[in-house]
Amino acid sequence: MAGHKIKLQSSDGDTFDVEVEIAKQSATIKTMLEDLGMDEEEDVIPLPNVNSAILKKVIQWATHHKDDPPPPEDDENREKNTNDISSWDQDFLKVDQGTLFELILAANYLDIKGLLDVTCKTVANMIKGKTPEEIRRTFNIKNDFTPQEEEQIKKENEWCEEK
Amino acid sequence: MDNIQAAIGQMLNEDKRRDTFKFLTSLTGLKLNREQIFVIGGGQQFTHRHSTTVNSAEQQISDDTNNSGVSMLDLPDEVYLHLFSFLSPIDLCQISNVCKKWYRLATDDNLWRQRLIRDMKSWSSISSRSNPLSYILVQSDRSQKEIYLTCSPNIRRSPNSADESFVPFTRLTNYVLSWFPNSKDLTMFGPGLESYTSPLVKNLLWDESKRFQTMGMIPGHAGFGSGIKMKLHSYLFNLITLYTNCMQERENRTNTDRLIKNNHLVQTNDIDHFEISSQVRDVCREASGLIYVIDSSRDNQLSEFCTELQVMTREFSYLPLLILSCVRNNEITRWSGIDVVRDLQLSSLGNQWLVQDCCVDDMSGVEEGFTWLLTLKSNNNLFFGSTSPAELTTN
Repeated sequence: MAGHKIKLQSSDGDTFDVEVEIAKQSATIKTMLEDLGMDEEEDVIPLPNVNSAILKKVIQWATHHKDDPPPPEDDENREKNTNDISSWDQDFLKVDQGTLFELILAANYLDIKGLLDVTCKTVANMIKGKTPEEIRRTFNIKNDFTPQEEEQIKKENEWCEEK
Repeated sequence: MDNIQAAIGQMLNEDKRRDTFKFLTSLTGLKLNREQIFVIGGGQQFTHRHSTTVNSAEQQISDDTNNSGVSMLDLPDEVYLHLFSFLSPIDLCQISNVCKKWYRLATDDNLWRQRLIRDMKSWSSISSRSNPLSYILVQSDRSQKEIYLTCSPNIRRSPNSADESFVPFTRLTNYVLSWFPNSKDLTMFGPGLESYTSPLVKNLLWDESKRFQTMGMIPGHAGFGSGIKMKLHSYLFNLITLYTNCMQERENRTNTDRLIKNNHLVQTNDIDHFEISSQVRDVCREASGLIYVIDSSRDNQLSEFCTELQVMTREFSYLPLLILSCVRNNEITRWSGIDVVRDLQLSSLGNQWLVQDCCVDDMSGVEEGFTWLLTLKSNNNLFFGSTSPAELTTN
């Protein structure tokens, strides 16, 4: 049924009216709807792991991508490219790191493959070509190796370079 | 009656709903507990933007780059593995230096196994020492990462390696080679010389890029085993090309016919059993390397090229074997190196071998293949070249 809507409730209690077809890009919601046999407009799906700011962004993304073809089945068997992020997605993901990670967590929890891929690609691009020290600085990660351990890992990898 | 059934149905539905909601609430409960734990530990927040009650020094620092309190380290392992699947093997080596969590995830066996199975289909050269199939078949005590890095032709191991087992085998220096000034005899044969990829030989002799230089002819015996003295970089070699029949015969037969109308092979009493002919045996006995040329266009069945190779190498398992997996030009869809390894049953050979993808028209890959053969240390099988389990069972 086109235009049929459901209500999604964020962790902080806000509810959002969303077209079923858009919400179903989330495999989690899709399964939930099918399992519960929900069809009344009053039904509310609680999403306790997603706050309203992030849920708003997720709905915005899903609305823009509602006509995308489903991802191919053998996705894991193909070479993965990180240079194919659409310009709309690039603009959409111009957010601070915290929001980006929250989007990743939400995409993972809601099981939205397209959003999870594009957010992960964005982070992958932030990692590529950086030294470990640069990566630590970028993501505020503490180096928890002892000097000996660090030396050992360097040795493990020193013989490896691109042809 | 119908009413009762409907009522029961509704009740069941209600129950199911209630269960689901109970489950969802329990998730919320779990999250609250986690937050409490984090508050006590003074660590970072989990998912809530609103419940920022912690103000430890650590939190302050991360707030500079990050407004919501969620940091990279809060991502669960499965998300990390997905994220890392977008990185190259070299990136994965680099990032294992970042911290303990990243080290554990960037060396994850499943991550590398998946990568190996995906990437090996696109590798343009595979050798007996870097044959991923032997590692997959054998329970190896190497990590999947080590296996990947050992097998991948796109990664070069530095010679300063602390681990002796990773001796680079393709590049001997000219200095070392100067100890072995004698030129090698390389015997080249195979169905690829007698199909659409046959211009390979002509392109070798009149190489426009001048990497391969023709120095002169060497005579054979009774029209058999004559060859051409050639030079690649500073390596001299004699290229002996064995055709299975005269040109007219060659052009009028199918791949299966090829086994029977083939001067190299002699059919024994057993109808399906072939042996190498004595002339060919004499030529191969003098050789220091074999080159098997096949036409790897998808129009051909690779398994049809298996018997000839098996017969030809049976008595010469000590010779290194280069398999030039050719297509005429790059528009032709080809079988990949790993398909050749599988369908020609290379794991069952005693030879050291290398499968090299080549294109006849632009000669790409040919130089790499010959370089491997010319620089190989003789009879020095470090890994699976001569000890694969498949071989043990066939012999």
